[in-house]
Amino acid sequence: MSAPVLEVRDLTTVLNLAQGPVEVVRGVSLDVGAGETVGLVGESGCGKTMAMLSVMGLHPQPPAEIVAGEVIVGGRDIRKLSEEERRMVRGAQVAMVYQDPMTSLNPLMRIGDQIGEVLVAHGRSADEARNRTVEILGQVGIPQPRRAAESYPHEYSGGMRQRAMIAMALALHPQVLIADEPTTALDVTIQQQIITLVTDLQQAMGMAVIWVTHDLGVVARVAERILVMYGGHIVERGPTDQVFRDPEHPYTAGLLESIPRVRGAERHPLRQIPGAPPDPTHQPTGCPFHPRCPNAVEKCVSEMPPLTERGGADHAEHWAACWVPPEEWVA
Amino acid sequence: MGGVSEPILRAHDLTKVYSVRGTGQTLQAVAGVSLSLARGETLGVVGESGCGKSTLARLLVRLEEPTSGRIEMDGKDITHVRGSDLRTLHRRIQMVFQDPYASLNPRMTIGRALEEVIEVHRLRPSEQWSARARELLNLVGMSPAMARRYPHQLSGGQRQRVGIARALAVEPEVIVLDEPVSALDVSVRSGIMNLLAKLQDELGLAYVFISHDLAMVRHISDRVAVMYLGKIVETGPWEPVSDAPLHPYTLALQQAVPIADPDVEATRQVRTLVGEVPDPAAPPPGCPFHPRCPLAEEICREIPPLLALLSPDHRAACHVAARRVGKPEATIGNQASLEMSR
Repeated sequence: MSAPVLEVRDLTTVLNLAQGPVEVVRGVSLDVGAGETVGLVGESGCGKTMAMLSVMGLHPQPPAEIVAGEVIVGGRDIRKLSEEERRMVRGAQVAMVYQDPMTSLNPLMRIGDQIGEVLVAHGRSADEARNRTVEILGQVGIPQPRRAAESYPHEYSGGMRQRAMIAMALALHPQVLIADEPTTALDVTIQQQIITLVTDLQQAMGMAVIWVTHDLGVVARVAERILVMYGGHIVERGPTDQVFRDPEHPYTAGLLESIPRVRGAERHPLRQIPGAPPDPTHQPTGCPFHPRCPNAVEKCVSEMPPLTERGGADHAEHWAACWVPPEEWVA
Repeated sequence: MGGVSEPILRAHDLTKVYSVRGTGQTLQAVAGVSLSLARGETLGVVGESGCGKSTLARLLVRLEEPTSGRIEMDGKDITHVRGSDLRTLHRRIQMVFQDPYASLNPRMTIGRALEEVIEVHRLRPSEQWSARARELLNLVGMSPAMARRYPHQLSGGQRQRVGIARALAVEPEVIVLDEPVSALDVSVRSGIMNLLAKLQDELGLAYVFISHDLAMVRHISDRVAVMYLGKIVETGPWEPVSDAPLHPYTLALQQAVPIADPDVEATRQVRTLVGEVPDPAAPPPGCPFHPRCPLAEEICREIPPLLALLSPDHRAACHVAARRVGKPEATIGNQASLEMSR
């Protein structure tokens, strides 16, 4: 991997609730190299969105609060910056897009003015901002960008709104784009358009992308490396092809076998993972996956296994957090 | 076609037209759909938002009345049945929704929600209601103790099981499932898919499985129908439709769905479809897919293709596909050839 443009070290975010603080992001570490594509996979409540919002310093506070860890962008821990300095990093170095574009688009403001406002806030002149706005709207594939800049978000289709949000995120040429389920609400043919768009822009602009998704197919399509989250922890990470071929965590293995194969004439019953993902405010003790894990041993109930590197030439950079090695799995 | 047994459910040339409020415009959500469902069979209906698949579902179970066309159950016309006949019909055909939460009363226990169905349809004497409710929970893989819980105390997967149990209460022959796993976590979906397969085996149910997810449809269906802008554009046995589609839209849909295997993805050819689904209130002339179709020709802009038999038991509504299999006339038909000779 090339030199990291984003380093996250032991990030821990809690929700301060009436019952006391609850850890929802639990010691998450990740590195993202320049131009790299990383897939962050997990189901609802696993902490993936809260982890990324924490990286951006956009976690809702209260109730959310970062209680430990570092987020290093361009050599500086952004947790130690003033809010003003953090705002400069946001957008210019790390930007984020969301599942619902209306999270970041103001319904009462013309699209062009919204993008222009971001540029002006980062020191561009009004003229520069106007030109760059039209340019970036064109780059994200919005037809007639000059006219589109004059439109309001509701005049756009779902797919076009997603493009506008991407335009706003990329206006300042960030080094890292965090894409949080940007295609989940879209039809698959529009999802594919957005995937192609982000991949093309990534190559043109040389930025890194973190795709946050529940869809293992999307990860297989776009990501060089994968991080799997469960119960607030990263439970497995490694090169995508290795993790898919030889998963080292029973959760990853279970997920991969629970989705239907789309090749071949044989259709078998799907592998089932019993139960449901844990409520983040009521995490199980020890390894959060143990109540659903066919391989769980006594230790799993009491102690969270550390994320450790798996040996062997075939498993370079492949890490997993499980007490039981795959050779000893019952299923 | 022409199977041994009479289909349990048949739809002929169904349409559903809505008027768009305040505009004087009309919108044809379902535009001439014909289909048949054999006993014990699963028909998968796949398509993207606005294709009319959910409207079709509501028409088939007669939650809505079609604007034109005919629906038959066991050969009997049910297109316009009302009142007690409709209630009788709903003992034979049931629906399961994407969001079971919306159809469950938050203040009613799960047991009571099941008993209510038994009561409304007068299926059992009252002293048997609670035993039957527990039996239904057991059937969908839930502990009878769950009868005392409220909907908010259940996980999404458990709520969907309750939704299925409610549909099963009347011992139906057909269940129309509208996106039954789409709202669920990935690790929970497979349990529901397996449950549906098991119930079909045990109870001989026929399913219409409606989804935007081609992989799920491929997994569960005997036959598949692909919808676009209110019409079926391709239909046939699951394997050729999913893996060797004739219609360029089906192919685009298949390529757009990423496969959870990086080795396969690395070698896959994926053509990204341009544009978006047209406004159903102003559908394009000719083939509804032509503005986005990489194969579109002059004829596609003018003559709407008929859903024609292009290979054994496999139909598609595409002029180009028809020519490729040596049946260029098949998708044109009589009416259109008149238009051509003009």
